Amino acid sequence: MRIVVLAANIYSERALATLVALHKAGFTPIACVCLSTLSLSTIVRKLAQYGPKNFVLYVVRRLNMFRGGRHLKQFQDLQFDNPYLEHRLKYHNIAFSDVASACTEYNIHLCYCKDVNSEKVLSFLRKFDIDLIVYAGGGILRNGLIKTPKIGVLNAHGGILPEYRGMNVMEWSLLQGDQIGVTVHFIDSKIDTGQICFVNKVPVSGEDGSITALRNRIVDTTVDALVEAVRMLAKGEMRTKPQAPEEGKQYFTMHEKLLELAELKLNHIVDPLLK
Amino acid sequence: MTECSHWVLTQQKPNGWFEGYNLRHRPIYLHFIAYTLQGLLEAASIIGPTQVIEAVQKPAELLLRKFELKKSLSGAYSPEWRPQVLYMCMTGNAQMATVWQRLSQITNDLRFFNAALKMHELLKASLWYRGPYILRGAVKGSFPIWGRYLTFRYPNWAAKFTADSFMIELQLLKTLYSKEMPCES
Repeated sequence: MRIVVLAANIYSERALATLVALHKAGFTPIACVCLSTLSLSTIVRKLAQYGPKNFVLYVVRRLNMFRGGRHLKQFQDLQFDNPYLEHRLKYHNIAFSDVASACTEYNIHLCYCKDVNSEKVLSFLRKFDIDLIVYAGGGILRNGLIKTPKIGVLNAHGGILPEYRGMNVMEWSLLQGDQIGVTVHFIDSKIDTGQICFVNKVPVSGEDGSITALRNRIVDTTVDALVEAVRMLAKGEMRTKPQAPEEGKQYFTMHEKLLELAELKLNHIVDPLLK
Repeated sequence: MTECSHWVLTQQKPNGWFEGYNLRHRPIYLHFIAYTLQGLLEAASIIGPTQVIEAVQKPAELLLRKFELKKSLSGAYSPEWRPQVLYMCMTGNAQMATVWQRLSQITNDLRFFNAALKMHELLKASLWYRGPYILRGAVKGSFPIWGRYLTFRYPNWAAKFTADSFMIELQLLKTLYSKEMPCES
């Protein structure tokens, strides 16, 4: 199967872990499309995502990584944003520091772009006659890109579909007292409304001491879910389920005051588990 | 009163727009739109909540989506819900925050409260905290202040609607926290 991975940026740990996990499962991607770190659209998107204060921290972290080199590094030297992904990025006592290093190691074609929907990316993908795109970040996809692969674009959404669409869905599920989980689905032209492949529920455990820790664990689960979905597709075992747009709600970025409440709710779930 | 409210409901178009939002020869300011929605919600106790919530929810949700995606609401809209001006109507913003919060209280849909909290951030950012004493806490008619809605003025009703909305936020937060910490509340 000819697979292409979409990455939000060169330092995306999620994209890197997805690349490595696919390779370890025997589905080495043929190419990777990566958004440029220094494009204006990426900066605006990250600003909106993190807020000004966390954006500065994000930039400092990235600059530190850049200073350390963009190649394979001694594992002991590396610090990961998401500790759950560490075990995935180890490679004979060294670890991949970014998407480019993994692409070099596994002979994966790498394409940098400012917009994944651009003609540059489309013509790059047409060269490979691809079957599947695995989405590991990269913004909103337009029809041109969605229709390029023969099978479709696979995404692992960090919430349960069709109920929870959009942003911060894990936090929203937590706040509203619903189950959290990961849904693998095909991307269509709307937000999180494509055919559902399967849902993996993720029970809260004692180690989920904060929203960040839980979110990191969810990201780790999305990597496994994507590999599982690719395996099912390769074996022809995938049965998808359509979802109606009116079945669920679209959620947006959660305000800090509600995030505090969600954290409180999480503590109430986790505390009895620790006793 | 009931007849008036029923009449208002008959003016709603399928896209959620209410015919006759505007005062003649003026843009259809967000202030007028939010006034209608707010009025209907407050009349809910008279004409039965289900009918009203359905009528208000459609435009409120549409405006919520616009606000979440663009991070602001236009000062005026066309009957097709297209933004008509580049400035914001701060009175309308404060009223929309109130409408969203009231809807959140009625429907338990926290997305409305979430949008209201973000709107409050926007309102707070436009307030004067220093400078001339007379302007402290005042809310501009338009943002930027040279916008057409009450140009270079600070209407008292803008401050009133903003204060109203902030007070509902406190109520709602108190309710939510008391659910989470029943012993401590």
